[in-house]
Amino acid sequence: MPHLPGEKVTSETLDKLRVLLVSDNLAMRTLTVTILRMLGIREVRTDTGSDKTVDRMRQYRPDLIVVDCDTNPMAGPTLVGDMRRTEDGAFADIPVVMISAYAERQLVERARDAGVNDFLVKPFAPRTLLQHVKYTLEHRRPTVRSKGYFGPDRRQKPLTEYRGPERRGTKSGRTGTTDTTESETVETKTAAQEKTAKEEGVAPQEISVEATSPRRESVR
Amino acid sequence: MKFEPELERRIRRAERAVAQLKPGFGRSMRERLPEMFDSPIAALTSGSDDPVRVLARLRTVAREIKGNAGAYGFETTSALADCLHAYLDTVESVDEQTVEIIRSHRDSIELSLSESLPNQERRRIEEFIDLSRELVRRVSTSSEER
Repeated sequence: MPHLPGEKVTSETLDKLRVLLVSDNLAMRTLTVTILRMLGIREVRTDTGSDKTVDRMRQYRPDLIVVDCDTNPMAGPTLVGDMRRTEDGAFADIPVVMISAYAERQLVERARDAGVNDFLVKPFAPRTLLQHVKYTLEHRRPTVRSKGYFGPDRRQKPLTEYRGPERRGTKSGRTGTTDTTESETVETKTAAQEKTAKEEGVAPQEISVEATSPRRESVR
Repeated sequence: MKFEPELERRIRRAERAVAQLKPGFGRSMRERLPEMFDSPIAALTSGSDDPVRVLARLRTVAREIKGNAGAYGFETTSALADCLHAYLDTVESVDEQTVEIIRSHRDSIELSLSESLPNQERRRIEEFIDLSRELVRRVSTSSEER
């Protein structure tokens, strides 16, 4: 992994990045690969999206996945869900940017629940694609595992007012309580948070994990 | 958003590369329009297929054109496809007028993919986009009132 979560993305980062583009549309594959390569990402592979895609990911080990899901809108979230739920969790924390011509509520919610990190609405220009790639890599969210979900934390803000049985416990440090009935456990922290923990002499598991600030196009 | 100078240089390089791809995309899209539209339109006219399924196919087509054409720099084509998508969302039953409106969108999309579009044609397309949006607005309002 050439880029550590929380680090600033520079041209050198892009030089070393491995990106997998999944799209069953030739015109979109051609365009997106061209843009990514011109942005300096030398290692770009494409896949048309099938039941073999997750197996191919194991060989390629991408740092970022871009999924275009227009020809079959629900296929994108399904693929991301399958990828997140592999038994060994090999792809639980790989950032995924989904691109689509429309951001219908149903699609965006399915994408979020499948474990998509960011959502980009077409048409997009090279600058916009770079903004999303940069944002997604720089604002990695902690990985969360629960009964029905494995992937980036879907919450954009801590729900301090929630007092129900599924409130997260202190392992994440977010709630500040000692609940043991948490339904989701935050398993990883960003590099920046780990660094802060070391500097402040605090054990990493006691560090508060703040959610990423939402942006207009982000999956909420 | 501004990036570091090297990334700005790369963005400009990417924009130039997209501009080079644009004519090829326009040609290929024009060639694909008959396959994308003609069979669904024929099915709607003859009633040979379930209209709900045919409209769903057309929505996928509009979606693909909206995203791809816009990304390749055909903003007007993308706007027309968006209009068609919005119109298809309002269709409750198919009649001759529905087919005619779909056909008008298809013809405008084809025209908008021309490499050099005369100003007069460009204005005609822009007027068509306004009309289409107005139609969708009226149909949506009347459905809400019902």
